[in-house]
Amino acid sequence: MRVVESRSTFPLEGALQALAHGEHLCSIYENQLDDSELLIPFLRIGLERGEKCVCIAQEGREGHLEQALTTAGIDVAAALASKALVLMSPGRVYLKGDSFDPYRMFTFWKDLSSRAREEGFSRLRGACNMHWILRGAPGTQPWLAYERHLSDLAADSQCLLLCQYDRSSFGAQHLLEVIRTHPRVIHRGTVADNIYYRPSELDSQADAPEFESLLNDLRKREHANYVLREQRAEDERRSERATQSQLVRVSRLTTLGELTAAIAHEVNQPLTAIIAHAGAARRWLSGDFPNVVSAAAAIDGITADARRASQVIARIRALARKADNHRDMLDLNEMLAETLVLVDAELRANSVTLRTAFEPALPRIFGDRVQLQQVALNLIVNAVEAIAALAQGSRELVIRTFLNERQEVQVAVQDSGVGLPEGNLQMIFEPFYTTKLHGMGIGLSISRTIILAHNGRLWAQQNTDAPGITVHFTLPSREDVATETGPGGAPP
Amino acid sequence: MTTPPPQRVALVDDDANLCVAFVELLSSAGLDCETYPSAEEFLRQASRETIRCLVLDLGLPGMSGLELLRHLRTNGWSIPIVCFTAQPDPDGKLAQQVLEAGAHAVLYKPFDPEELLRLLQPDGDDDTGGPDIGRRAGTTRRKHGS
Repeated sequence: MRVVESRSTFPLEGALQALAHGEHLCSIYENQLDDSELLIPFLRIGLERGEKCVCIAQEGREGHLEQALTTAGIDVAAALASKALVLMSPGRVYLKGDSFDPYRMFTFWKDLSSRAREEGFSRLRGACNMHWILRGAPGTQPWLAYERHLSDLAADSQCLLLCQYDRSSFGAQHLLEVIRTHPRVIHRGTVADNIYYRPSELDSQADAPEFESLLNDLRKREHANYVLREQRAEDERRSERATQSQLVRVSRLTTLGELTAAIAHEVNQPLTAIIAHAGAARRWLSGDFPNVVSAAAAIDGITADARRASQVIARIRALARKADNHRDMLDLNEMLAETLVLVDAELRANSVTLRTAFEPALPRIFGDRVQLQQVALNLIVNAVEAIAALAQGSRELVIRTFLNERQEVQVAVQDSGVGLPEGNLQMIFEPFYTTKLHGMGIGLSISRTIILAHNGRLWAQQNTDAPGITVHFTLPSREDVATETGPGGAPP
Repeated sequence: MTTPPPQRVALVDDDANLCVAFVELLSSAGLDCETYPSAEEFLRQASRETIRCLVLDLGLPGMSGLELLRHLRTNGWSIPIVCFTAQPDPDGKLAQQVLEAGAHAVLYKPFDPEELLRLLQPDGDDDTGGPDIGRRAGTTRRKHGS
């Protein structure tokens, strides 16, 4: 029993667009219509891309092909004249001299592929109807061996080769072999990765009718994969929309943690090698007869591994740049309110009173919500920790937003905490500086990097008439100044 | 005068650059070395006749270092095994696990190369001071911690 599937479940056009040169695939078509629905777009895409398209049609169907191409909007006469499209008959290609010679065919494809480039075409694209095999001309026995090697040839010559097989004319055993010799299979409008492909000439002992279930299986897998891919893409789109959710913030913080672990591991490897090389060099140079040659080799090792370590850093930098594209128009009041929800438990656990004074008419800013939220979170947590260290006195956290005299949006996080010794106000922004027992000393440094990247400023002040400090940051208030022009100025 | 031991130190680490550095270090100390990129490769090729002791990375792809360690111990390999890892192990749980599985020592990357060499030097066959790796009679015993 055949299951009728809707063809619309699989985007054939997109899959054909995605085919790459160096691929060898087969189409097993049900009927002439099925064949044209694949062949025409396959050729059209090639012509659109400036490739040389060679089509070896089934004998007697050349006229139909030209007509179908014309119907699809292709100027066949022009394409033929410019040799972008070449229509050939199987009798003159595969069965030249009335017999099939696979080696002649390999040469044929290789020559054609290099000639296509000489003629100024980008690549060679071939569509070959394999119906001629059924004529039983001499030499057709090695046809499957030919198909097996064609994958290598396509890869070597960087051409795209499609072999079309008529399902109703070929026997089951043959089709099974066809499936096994093509890395990708197109069946009923689905381009499927072929898990049954066997690159080597392994003997096939399977039952003949199996090919039918193989085809169904391949198509179903591809459909399932397609649905999965679509779902994943949709999930990504959805999560993109939901950047305000805590989940995303947490996941990106987790990624930072994971990234740190990965960096530590990746840098540790070359460091270990460097230390081992250095140990060796030291040994080669010690003793009564220093081995300078071996020591020099060890020192070369140090250089090479140090270079590896710096490459790790370069890779991380590149990664960070890639992740740096999440900017949007933001309402800072709203962002701060969300952040405060996250620290609510922290505030209560430390008996901190929160006071907010948000400017209701605050202009929006252009920035990365998650990064700015990390900055806010960092400043608030620092403030709470400074207050938590107090044995007595006022335990108050004040967060204000306002438009300053420079027309920038400014946020002030003021605590009544233990404060800092005079002179340390600048140092708190240095990487790895910390006054906390278990602090890493990177929070404020990262925060400042983030704010600078937003063309803003970040600084700290002792409170004038009260204990504790206030940390301020500013951000440009309009989108026209939000373009990246480098770090902003120094604090006033 | 110490003669180089006739048996080799085997090293299993998937990082080829690190292997090169270790081979260099070991040979600078007069130790012969053979390296394997994975636990599986070690099991396939290593011979008990040539290997005096084993230096094993715990973070291997495929079969892990700890798994190889356990496998060797249950299959009658009694050679000394020194493990190292790049994984943080703040409470020493990993080290404990590895030592319980039969390793002689655990080192954390990056580690002092002299420490590794000390562990790998063929020692005397009494068991005072330092891990008793080697057990070759007739070699000069190095003094530790004095």
